[in-house]
Amino acid sequence: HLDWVPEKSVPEALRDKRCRSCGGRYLDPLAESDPADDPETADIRAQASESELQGDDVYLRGGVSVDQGYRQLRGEDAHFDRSVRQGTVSGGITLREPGVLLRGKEAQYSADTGEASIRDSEFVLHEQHLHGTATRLRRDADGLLFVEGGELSFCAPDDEQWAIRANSIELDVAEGLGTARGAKLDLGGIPVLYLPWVRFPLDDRRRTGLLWPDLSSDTSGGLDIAVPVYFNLAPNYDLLYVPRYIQERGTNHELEARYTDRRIGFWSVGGAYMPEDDRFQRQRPEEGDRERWLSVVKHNGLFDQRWRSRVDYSKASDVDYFKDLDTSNLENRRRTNLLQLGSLDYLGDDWLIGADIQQYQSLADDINNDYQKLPQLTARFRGDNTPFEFDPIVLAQYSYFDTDDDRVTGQRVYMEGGATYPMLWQSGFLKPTAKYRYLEYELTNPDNAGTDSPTAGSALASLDGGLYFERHTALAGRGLLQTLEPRIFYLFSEYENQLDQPDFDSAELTFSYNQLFRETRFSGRDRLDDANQLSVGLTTRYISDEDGREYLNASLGQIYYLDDRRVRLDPRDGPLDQSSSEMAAEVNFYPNKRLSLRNSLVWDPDSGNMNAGNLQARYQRGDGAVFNVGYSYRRPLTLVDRDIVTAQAHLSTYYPINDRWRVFAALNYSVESNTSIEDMFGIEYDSCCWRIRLLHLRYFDTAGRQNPDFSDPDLEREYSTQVQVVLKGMGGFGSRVTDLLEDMIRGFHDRDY
Amino acid sequence: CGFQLRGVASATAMPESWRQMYLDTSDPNSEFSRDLKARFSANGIEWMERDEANYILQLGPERFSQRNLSLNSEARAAEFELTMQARFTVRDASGAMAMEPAEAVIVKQMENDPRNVVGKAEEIRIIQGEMRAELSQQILRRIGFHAAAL
Repeated sequence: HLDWVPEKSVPEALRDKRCRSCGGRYLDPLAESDPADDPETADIRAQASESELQGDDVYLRGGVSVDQGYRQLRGEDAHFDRSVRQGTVSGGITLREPGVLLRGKEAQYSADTGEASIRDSEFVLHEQHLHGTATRLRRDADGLLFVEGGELSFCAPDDEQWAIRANSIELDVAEGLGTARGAKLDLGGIPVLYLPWVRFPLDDRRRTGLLWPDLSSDTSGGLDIAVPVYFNLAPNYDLLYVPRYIQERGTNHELEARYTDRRIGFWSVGGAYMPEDDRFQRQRPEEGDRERWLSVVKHNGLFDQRWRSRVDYSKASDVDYFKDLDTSNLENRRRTNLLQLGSLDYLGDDWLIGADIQQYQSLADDINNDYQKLPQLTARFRGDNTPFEFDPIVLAQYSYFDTDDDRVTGQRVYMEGGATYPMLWQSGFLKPTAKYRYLEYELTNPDNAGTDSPTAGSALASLDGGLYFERHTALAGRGLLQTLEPRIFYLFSEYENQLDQPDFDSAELTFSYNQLFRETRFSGRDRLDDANQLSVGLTTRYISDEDGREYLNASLGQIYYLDDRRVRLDPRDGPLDQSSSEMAAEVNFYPNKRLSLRNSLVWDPDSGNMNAGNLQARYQRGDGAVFNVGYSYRRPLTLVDRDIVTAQAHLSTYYPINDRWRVFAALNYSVESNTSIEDMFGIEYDSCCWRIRLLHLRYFDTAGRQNPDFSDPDLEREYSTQVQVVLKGMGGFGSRVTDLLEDMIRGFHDRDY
Repeated sequence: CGFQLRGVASATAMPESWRQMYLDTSDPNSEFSRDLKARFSANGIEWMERDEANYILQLGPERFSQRNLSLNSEARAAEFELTMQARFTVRDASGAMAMEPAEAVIVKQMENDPRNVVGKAEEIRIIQGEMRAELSQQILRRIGFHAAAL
């Protein structure tokens, strides 16, 4: 029936997970046909027991079979008009193409376009695992299927646990989208839901049930119901409106309009508006009866492959907006700032010219808004690093920094010029660089301290060199190439007094293996660091002889300081006088496609302390099982006012017990406070055509108070419970569960089946 | 211990026929594409027009993501994990797959300072530049080894 084959008759190689859970699968007899055999250009071959020709009209009777390229049409009787290349086939007809089977009583068919209209039809989309019936089934020239007065289900044809009955359904296989109008959802034959309009995905490309209602419950708002309404206004323009009811708060209206165009790129404009939030009024009476809102503009464009534009703008009514109202993602709730950025770059052959406007809205009561760049203009010569040729270095940057707070503001010009001469051999490389950096400010200082126009200039010279050694070896019977790559980097940079300079966009860079080969210890442009230092690093790799896959790479290195470093981010800090840096190590191990191990360490030989360590191990199996173990440790050195160590362990898994049941869990554990920061567990039941997931989550919210401890008994935990029901092939309720799983279990990717 | 300086006869040398390539990407002038082109050129690859090239390197866009690696005691990000990845595949002049589609991935960690957002955003920018360089290095190494192993 409808190409459905019970499991025991399916060839062993094709018995996949879905086949086992459905007890069978569709086997497409045309699966192996040649896609280049396009019916639109192919000849028609027709056969029947009887045929009759009257002018342009061909009459075929008895076991008609028409083949045209990869398209096959079978029926009892047929009439074909050769002048318009259209015909009618009747009596138990079958129309096949690779991936599609249409059956019915009578079909009208156009040989040129493939358009067909079939009465009392049944159909199967093999790859999409969909079957259905229709009073009238229409297939247009583009291959779109229009189902009128029919139903549709992902379940096995003999075990229909759910079905969508609709006045009309449109299936666009090429786009992977289905649309149903006037749809009723039947579960076990009982109608449970009426949807005037629903759009659903037909394959992995848009698999989340974006347009299904979303239900959840948590301690930050109680019951939470969102009902998306989608308006497909044009192929490149759509609108999504989501009214959302939150039990303890009120109604939130969310809107997103998207537009995409080859000339102006992708645009998304949206936001949310909540006229009244009952819980917020109780919790923050000082805010009064304030409305809550969010506005978001996102844009990415590339015009003529040269002009790149970007907008990433979000603004929220208050600092608690994300914490209170974004329940899909813990990461979002923990944001301390919102980016507001606009940028335009010209990507020339020799020059990259860019203009940025950037500011951040603080999402924490105790953090000031950061400096705004209004604007920053940058011009940079794009070197091409051709070996044995001088490569000029030219960079000029103008920035104006402003702030709403009572702090120093002003303009800054940064310039650098110089040259580099890269040399490259099969056995190694050597790259001398010399440049001069210059910095000039025009400041407005609220307390009139220091000079208003400090300048600084510093010459820099560096020499970067490395060698490649290799040898053939074997490990566990596998042929390997082992490399040994010593690298040295000498850096000299003049000291220049920079006591009067502000800190607009600089921070001390995190020490890691990469730091060994950087020209500066600061981010941003406010500090020209002084240096007279030699970095020594060694990398070894084990690479497969067969395909070049890297099994292991390990690096170890250290910086030797020949002078004290006097330039500090905070000018009041004294010079750094250690004669060598911490030691940095990195090890990455990928023994096979399932297991990965990443490890980095920063160790201080002076104090004997481990200053940072990070270990992440992941095991992924073909059946979807994921295990993660992680540990991250850091002794913060750059934050003077806080000397709390962060030590956190991570454990997470998604584990199939059998074809039907799966469990999942995640734990982020604070080792220094001996308590869980956030944990989650849940269970999943998966049948042939539907799936249910239950998830329970506990977490700490971002604390408003100064320096609480995770073990502080006053710190309140938040709880959240989420349900997800997925009708396979159509999405379903509770897409937030997927978001949480992908967020909390690294390496987990939801699949539709 | 058997180590030798890498020489011309090394297994890592790109075979002659692989040295005429065409780069197929939607964003040929981006920092990533430029970095990759320069690195391949420096290693003897000549970038040709599509119909003259022996091999076509199809390069997907760089995809960057950032997530919290650990939280401080205010439940704010203490460390970030940064990931940059790009898909690539090589086809021969007839369009047939010459190398299975693969993905290059670089992961880095950095310390966060919630009180210095702008300075840390600049640090991310620096690391992104380094990740791009390491991505193109990884892609060059993998294609080089693959071609040499054929």
